[in-house]
Amino acid sequence: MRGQELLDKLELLSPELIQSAAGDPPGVEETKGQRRRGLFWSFMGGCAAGAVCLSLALLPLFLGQGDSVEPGGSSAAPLAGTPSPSPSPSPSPKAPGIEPVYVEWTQDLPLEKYFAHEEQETDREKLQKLPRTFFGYDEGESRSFSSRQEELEEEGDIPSIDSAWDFTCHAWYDSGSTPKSLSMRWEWYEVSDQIANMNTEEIGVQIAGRSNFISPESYIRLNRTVVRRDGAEITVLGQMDSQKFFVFQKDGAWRLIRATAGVPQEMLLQVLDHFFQHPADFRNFSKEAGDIYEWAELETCPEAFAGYYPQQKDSELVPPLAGAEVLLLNGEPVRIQCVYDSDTVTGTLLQWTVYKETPDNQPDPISRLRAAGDLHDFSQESVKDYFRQGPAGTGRNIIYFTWDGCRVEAQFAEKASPEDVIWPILETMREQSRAWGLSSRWSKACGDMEAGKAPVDPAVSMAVFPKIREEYFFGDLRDATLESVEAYLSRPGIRESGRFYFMWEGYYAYAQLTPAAEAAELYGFIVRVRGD
Amino acid sequence: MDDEAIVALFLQRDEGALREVSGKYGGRLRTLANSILQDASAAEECENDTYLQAWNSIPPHQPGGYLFAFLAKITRHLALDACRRRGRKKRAGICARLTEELEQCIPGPSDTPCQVDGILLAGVLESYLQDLPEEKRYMFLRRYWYCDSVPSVAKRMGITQAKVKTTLHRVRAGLKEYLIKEGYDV
Repeated sequence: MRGQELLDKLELLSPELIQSAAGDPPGVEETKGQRRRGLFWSFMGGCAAGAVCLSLALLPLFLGQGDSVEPGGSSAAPLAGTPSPSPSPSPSPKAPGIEPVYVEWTQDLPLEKYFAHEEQETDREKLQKLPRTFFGYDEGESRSFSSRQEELEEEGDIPSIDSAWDFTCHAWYDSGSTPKSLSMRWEWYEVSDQIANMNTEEIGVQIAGRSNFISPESYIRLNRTVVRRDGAEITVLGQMDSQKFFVFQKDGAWRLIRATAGVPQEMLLQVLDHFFQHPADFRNFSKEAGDIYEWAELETCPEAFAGYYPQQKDSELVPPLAGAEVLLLNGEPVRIQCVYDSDTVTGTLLQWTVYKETPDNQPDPISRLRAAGDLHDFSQESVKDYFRQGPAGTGRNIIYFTWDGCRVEAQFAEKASPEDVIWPILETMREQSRAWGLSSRWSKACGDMEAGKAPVDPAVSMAVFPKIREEYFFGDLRDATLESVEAYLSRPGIRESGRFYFMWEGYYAYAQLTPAAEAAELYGFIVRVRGD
Repeated sequence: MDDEAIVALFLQRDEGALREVSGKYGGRLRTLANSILQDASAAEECENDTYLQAWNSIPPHQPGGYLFAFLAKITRHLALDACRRRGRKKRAGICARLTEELEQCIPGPSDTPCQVDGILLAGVLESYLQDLPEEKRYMFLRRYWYCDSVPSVAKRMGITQAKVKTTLHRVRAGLKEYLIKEGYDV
């Protein structure tokens, strides 16, 4: 059976199943706003969320209440730096048949008490009915504060959480510099050799003075338990062994906290307590202070990751690029995603992604589990072993590795042979990388020459180069003598080639060679490079 | 007009059925075809062929309760065929990519000739998909049935592309294990 056959066989699925995916995602009551958020996140690509593979089905944002406060709500001063809250609609009636149970908060109220009255079955149904939005997504411009965890902890904007949990934070803006909403997320994952069973946990917090989309009424209407604390009402939804939601309004802003089933109780209570007691200061999240992520076409930033992704000119095994996008962090490339035209050169490279990691820009955790090591340490044998010994279920054709401080995920065609296709492409890139390392020094040398800091040789100039040409290869400069240079120049086609290929300090390199170059001139160049 | 009424028009050989079905589902069918073909005019052609095939198939079929699925199945089939006919042309890319991705679900060497009973396999696939959480099932179907691109699935679900890729990766891995368990280890 082939992939094509499986693709065709899917046609035989039942109409019910097909229709189930014909419309909106499950549970979604999609609004235009949500669509725009989707567009926004598509634009942002994978830059959100540190551990990008984690389950992010998070929830929404809330309405502000101004001076109008729900029964039990707080009438304290508005959140620092928050835009003026808009009037709130009056609370919705509870769903028929659901009568809330009020619980009085105490200092040592255990988590079980919050969920003591939630009913397993009906609550599952209630959760299904919730409008499905994705926590952390809002409309408008966004800035990332994910790299400022320490500062935010020091400012008291967020609680101090174990560093094993990846932190991300985003703020959304309308027209001004002060955000209209904030989202924070802590994520933890445990990668096992059975990736399909990878454990992920997350806890997310959303804070907003007002909302453009989902009202907390959605939760309040469905709730069974309300915990009264210091004049505020904390609406609870979920179960101890399932996901949990807490919604409350305090200090002029709504907060939603959501946690997956496995979040430790003490951590959840710590987060709940922190955000109850500490209003995040929106002034610490000004638009100017945040990081900007944006996607760009490679054509608009052709220098991005140059030399770090295969191109057709590097090897005949590499298909032409069908498309490449670059993720920019404050204008600096932090990721490139290349897709290759697998129909032009079949059975070889499909995709190649390079990450310079940031909290918002990380490869799948699988890439750590399956990391093959550093490209510079690869050998044909190690690459063969990698594909021979891959853990079950990780795909036979993807290799993850590090390279000059970046992480790379390369996906090859299923039939691509490690010996004949994958290794040659990786080796080409590695050798090129070494050459690039040297070329940067050459470039500096050229720059020095141009700046008058080094003698200019009229016959020979150095240049950046991609790969070695065997037939024009001179050898290692260390071994060069005037005689060997004369012999080299007398080889057919050498002068016409205009290139002088050599090896120096373990790197391949070439210099441009004028047709009229004399052996003595070239040897003089060699002497200068060697520092004789 | 509801699906039952449209199917009734088909059964009466009333060409108004085509107008109704085009108005109701044309956009979605065109989108499906375009996802596969990446070519607006070819997608339009595919949509028209779908109506023709539907006209020739109803009767005997009477897909009253699942008209869209019925039409979409035709569109998908036509579009995949057209995509493959393009052979090595660039625009056949989506087909090749989906095929490559699904190769990862397949137990055993992919070049092993294997006549798998389509109906049985569909049953196994269906059973696997039914057991998946709703969100994963939706994602799988959007990608491999509706042939949506990864960015498009991400956009539709309001999640990151990375999450889509990762989830699909796991669902494929799970499907492979499931197929092995069900005896498809050929």
